[in-house]
Amino acid sequence: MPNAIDELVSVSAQTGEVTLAGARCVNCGEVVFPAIQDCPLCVEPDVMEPVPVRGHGVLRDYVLAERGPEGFAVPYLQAWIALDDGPVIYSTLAVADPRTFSAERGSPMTMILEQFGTGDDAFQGWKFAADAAADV
Amino acid sequence: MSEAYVVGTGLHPFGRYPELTVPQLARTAIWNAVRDGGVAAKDIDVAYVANCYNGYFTGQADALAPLVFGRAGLSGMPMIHVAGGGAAGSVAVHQAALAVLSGQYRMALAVGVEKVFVPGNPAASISAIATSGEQTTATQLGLTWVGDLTMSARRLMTRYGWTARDFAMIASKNRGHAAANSDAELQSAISVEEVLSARMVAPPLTRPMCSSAAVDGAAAVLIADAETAARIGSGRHPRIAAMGVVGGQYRSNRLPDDRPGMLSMDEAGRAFALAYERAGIGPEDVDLAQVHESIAPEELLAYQVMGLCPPGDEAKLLHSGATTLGGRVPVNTDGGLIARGHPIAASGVAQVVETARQLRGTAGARQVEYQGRLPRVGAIQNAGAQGGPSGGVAVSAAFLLSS
Ligand SMILES: [Zn+2]
Repeated sequence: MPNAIDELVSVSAQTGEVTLAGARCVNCGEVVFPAIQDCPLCVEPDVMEPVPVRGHGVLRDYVLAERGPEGFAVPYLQAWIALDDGPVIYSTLAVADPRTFSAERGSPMTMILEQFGTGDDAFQGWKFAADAAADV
Repeated sequence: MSEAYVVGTGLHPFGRYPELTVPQLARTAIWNAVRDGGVAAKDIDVAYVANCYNGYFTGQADALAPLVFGRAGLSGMPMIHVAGGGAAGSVAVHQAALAVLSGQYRMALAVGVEKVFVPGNPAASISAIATSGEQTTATQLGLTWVGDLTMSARRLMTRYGWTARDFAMIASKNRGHAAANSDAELQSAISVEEVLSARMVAPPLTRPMCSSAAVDGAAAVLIADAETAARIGSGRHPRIAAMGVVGGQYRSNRLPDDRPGMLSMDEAGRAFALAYERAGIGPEDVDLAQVHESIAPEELLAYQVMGLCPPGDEAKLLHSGATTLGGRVPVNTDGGLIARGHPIAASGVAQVVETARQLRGTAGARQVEYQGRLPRVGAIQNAGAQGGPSGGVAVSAAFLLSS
């Protein structure tokens, strides 16, 4: 089944880097994700142009979730990532052991794609992994 | 200038009622409010019902208003369904009060009702309330309300020096308040040590520091104009002194990232500035407050954004006992979201029920008094539903009631 998130992510065939479908305001320069047509900062219509947003940023906040919605194996890590291109997005963190994970605010993180859900409900979503752990 | 008064209050006790439907929960609260006010139900000339998840659980997403009011035996008046996550109840109260203040209606009914408990499946309740957040980029990837709020709480612990023990003190205080509330979900007191040693939900928050999504309940209030209120009962009723209602404001992501991120509180300062200005009073006039502490740290931040203390003094205010029953400004006198329970759309209405009863002097064993006098001003803070570029709430509400 198609999922609205499919329209928002693409992967470079050469480098494997994940890029997000963002938009930038031609008036004020604000970059938002996901892409929209109307600027929430200068509040003008039809001023946003599509712009790729890099799937790289820094860790803002994270927490260990011992309870989750249906389909999520607990515990897992929830996080907010401040992308290098501006927008702040939510992600789970891809780590070996959520219970022992520890990282400083501002740690660099890279987006990876993984399957969420099962069967007809399966879709490709994103997670973030710490740059250091991803082998520098 | 027109005025609006709370002339009737009613509840269906909060808890787990798998055998009852949304209309059945609602009718109890509605008729309790009608009986409490001693009004004629036929005089209700507009009715609002707040509910968020009936469509999710039953498939009956629309036509909820005629079902809820019709099955309570009411008909003829406009029947309106509103939503908005944790703020849905405040949205209904706001609309009902505006309807009366407009002069077009003399008596309005606002009911909040929710049924979220799923026997044996706590994750189903978490999935349901997740629909009050943005699906595509957040909730389907696992973002939960408790997780999101706890991330902010962890940041604010560094900023303001809050500790897990402070959160446990909030939980223990509110559970203690609810021990005197037979309508509350959790009526057993719990010590600070017991809260700290309970099962972890999202470190450093343990289970008793968080409200539960898996709860059912309903709350209702009747709001009338001055002429109608004067003819009801004693003729003396709590007045809605002011309402300050705002929504999440988009903020450039090129500015320093310094907002608390505690969703229910991010806009509450703006809402209270409006409410205090409209009422012509200040935080020093507030005698008691009901705040939206879906997790304990939100109550600490509420002290600050409502103006009860300067930034950084939240824990000091808590430790002083000022916000405990018997203190200078008791907060969450009925147990709050943590102990009264948080059936999402019912919570905002229940806050008005408790505040009105306190101002009337009918709050029973948990009645607030000051040197023999009843409280004069009650403050209410509530917010909910999140999504869109601002990442903020749909509605943040500040209500001030006066006796
Ligand atoms: Zn712009």
